[in-house]
Amino acid sequence: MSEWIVRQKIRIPFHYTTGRALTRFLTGLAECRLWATRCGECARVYVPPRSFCGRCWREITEWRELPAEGELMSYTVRPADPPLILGLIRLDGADTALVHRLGEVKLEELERVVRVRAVWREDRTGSILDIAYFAPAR
Amino acid sequence: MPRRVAIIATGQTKHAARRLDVNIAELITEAVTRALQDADLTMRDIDAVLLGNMEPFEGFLFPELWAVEGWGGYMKPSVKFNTGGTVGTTTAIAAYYYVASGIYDTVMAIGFQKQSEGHTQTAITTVGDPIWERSVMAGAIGNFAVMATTYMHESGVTEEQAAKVAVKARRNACLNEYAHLQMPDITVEEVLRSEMLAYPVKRLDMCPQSDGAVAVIFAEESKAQKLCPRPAWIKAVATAHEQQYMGDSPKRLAEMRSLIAASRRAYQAAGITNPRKELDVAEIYEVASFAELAMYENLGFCERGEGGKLIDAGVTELTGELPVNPSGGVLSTNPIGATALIRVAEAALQIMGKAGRRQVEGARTALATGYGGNAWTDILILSREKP
Repeated sequence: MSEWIVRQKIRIPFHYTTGRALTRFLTGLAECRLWATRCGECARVYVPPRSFCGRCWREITEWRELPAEGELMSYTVRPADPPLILGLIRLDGADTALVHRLGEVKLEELERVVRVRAVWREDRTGSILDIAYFAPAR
Repeated sequence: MPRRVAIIATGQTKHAARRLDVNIAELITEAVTRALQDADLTMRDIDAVLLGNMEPFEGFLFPELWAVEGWGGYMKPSVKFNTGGTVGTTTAIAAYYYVASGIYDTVMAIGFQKQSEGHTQTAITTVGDPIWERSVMAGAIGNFAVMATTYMHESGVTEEQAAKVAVKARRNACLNEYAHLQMPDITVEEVLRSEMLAYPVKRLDMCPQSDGAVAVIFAEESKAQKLCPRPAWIKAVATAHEQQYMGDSPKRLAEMRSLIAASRRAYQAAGITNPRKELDVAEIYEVASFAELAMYENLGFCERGEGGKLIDAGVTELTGELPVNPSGGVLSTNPIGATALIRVAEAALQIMGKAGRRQVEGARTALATGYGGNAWTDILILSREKP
């Protein structure tokens, strides 16, 4: 008997409601602003913001605007042309980190990068990609 | 010996076609917060949390990870359940096992679905056998229609009798502030005139697609008695699976083998010999009006072929001898991963005497079912008396 394979493809559209906290975060991105929430109990500053602290089981109502600048905690490079650099960035004042791309940096300089800043796109739509990438900051 | 277990609290969201005001985590938080308030507990008092959801419907894989801040599972023992139309009852039965085993004292079961975020009927197609069934029969409706025609032929039930079930459900739903569909003026004629989806199933014969969540708290005997004035004791649980292919059980609604097996096992464990007399209320997973009539027969509420007569006689109306789905049932509210747990929550509310305008006077014994497209069934029997 020869092998016989049934091939199928199923397409499913999805549309996710962003909810109380993320809606403000996303609309903020369109205005080049970064919004975080702070838990009133553990004082953890979440970015992207949550409306609820899962650790304390408590609603979060306190908002903070964070600067579009922070510390590069870690990174990885995917060999490509140009290389794709993925960084873990902790904005100043946040307790959590954002995953994003890095740009305006040469591979051989990456090791010395400590501070990064957001580089905004011209055509912003309220998406995490409104930040084109993070670039080295002085 | 398993320990005695009772349901001590429940919480539900307002169910709706689209809950655009909250994301998935926030939707779940709404139900969990209400359940904790109902029991006057905090998340710290909960020893383990069990989460139920059908992941393919929202394409939100690992909700136990992504929505953890909403369901309170942070660093707690937990397991996720993903068993189709029985998600909610599987989660409830697992919570019962967790507590009955003596390993945990207070366990929360949660079910949720935000159907508006995905495309359920397409996802349901993946439930069918990929080689035999997917290419010819997609989604839930065609499947039901084929079952319903067979059942009509076997039992002689009519489209009018099925329409009466659809009307009963939607009128009961108007007494339930959490129910999705609110259709106080619905009539049998309106059901019969609604759009034909696949003969004999019309739009108003089918359940809606809902966004919603529910949380139910289970506790061992001494905690239950301390925390709840009238706990809903778990008297029996049972599950049964059968062969999946449509053609393996061609009389699927006329003879629902997994429902028969599971219910008889539960009746025996609960010492029930005449369910119509000994049950005070039933919350069953009736995805389509025709299915409810078939379930009357297969649950032993009446003789074979008498399902239509039962609805004609008003036996299952809120004021009847054995009210079925005073909540409005699945025909009024269907966030799939929550739906069967809503049956359990509603059955518990009846026992606790907290069902408000949909309360069945003096309910002491209640049945709840979960339904996996005939191929598998879960049953719980709740009671005001300790087992």
